[in-house]
Amino acid sequence: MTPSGVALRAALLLVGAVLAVTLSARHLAPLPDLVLVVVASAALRSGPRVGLVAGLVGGWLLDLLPPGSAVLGTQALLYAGCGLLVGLARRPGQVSLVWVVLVIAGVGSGLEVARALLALADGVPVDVVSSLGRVLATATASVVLVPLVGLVERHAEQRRFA
Amino acid sequence: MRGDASDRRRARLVLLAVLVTVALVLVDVVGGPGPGVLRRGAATVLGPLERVLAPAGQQDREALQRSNDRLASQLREARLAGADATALSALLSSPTTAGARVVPARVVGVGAPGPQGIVRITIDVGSRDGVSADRTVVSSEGLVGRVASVAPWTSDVLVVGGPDVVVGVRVGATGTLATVGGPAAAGTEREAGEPALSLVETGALRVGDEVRTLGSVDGRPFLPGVLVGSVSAVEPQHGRLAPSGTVRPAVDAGSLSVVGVLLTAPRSTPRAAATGGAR
Repeated sequence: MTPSGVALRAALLLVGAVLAVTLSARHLAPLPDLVLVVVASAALRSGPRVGLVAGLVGGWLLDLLPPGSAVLGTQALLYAGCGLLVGLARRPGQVSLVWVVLVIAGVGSGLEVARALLALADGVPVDVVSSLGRVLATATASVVLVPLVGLVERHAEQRRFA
Repeated sequence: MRGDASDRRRARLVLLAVLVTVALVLVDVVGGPGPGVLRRGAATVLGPLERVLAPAGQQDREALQRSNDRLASQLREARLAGADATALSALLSSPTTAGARVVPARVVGVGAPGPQGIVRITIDVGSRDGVSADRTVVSSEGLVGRVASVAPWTSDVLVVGGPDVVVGVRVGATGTLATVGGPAAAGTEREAGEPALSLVETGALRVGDEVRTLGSVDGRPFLPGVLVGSVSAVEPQHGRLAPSGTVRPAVDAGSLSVVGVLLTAPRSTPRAAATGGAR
């Protein structure tokens, strides 16, 4: 991974995190989890370790962007886990978009379940319907965004070596 | 060989980053000082970015009116700004803010999404606007929550119904003392966003009863008499001393746009004693 590729992924994660926080304030729902899409793209392209690091960075951004998380670091660990799992599910060579969408939907569901368990541990009731909507929105967005992110990353690396 | 060494070094760095994150989670859970500094630093740096990307609107009514005029040709923007003006007007004329000093604010950020709903929001006013921690935040409908932390230009608000907000309240016409928020009594079924209600002593609890804040010393974090919501369900006592139930919040956190931070000065003069039986 080149420095420009790393910078691009960091920028994409920042954009995803800022959009997640500010679009929610516009009462748009269900919103796709853009950070998860970027983390999954990185993991599918570069493997579990890069997925874990991308998840850690993306989660930290969500933890720190105001209003942040109730407990600092929880989103970082959750997204790191997601990045790791998506990286482990990576298949060599060309993979179908259906496979990518299924992996992201699966990991997104796991993320929602983990968040629901944390909320229930805090004594806060959970809304299953909104969670399902978010998973569907994320999986749908990934159909367009994962190839797009891959394309942008490839383009950035080709420019580096051109 | 060099590749292997470099690979091992990277693996160690990743492991270190994960361990540092786990350590910070633990420090935050036990209430250590480090995470607070990190939050304030992030809010100072990233807060202005959120303000820039916030939904269109202005901080005061006149500016909002000017904005409305300017955007008259752009129907969608005008509708949005008009909604803000209406919300601000409703806020300033609502009983909740009557006689109080209010700092109007817009919601510019909502915490990480999750099945627990909205429990933290960011508003576009901060310490430079006179806002400090533990202030009451209201909308025209009633109580939104309390200010948890403040940066120069933004503040983070904990919303009623979240795990970190427990409000002392009075219920119904009789003003029975109770708490809203915190852990629910065993067996209580709640909808997302509906906090638990627990009377502190034996008393009557009926569906539809109004729930208002009890108030805190110097009005921080909560001023007295602010509408929290209404009783939405009453649970059977099942051997418990005091009845419990759930509250439907007066404010829908999912549609908040304009809110107000109530500023109250602490009491500075001693209260005069009165003589009993005097006419």
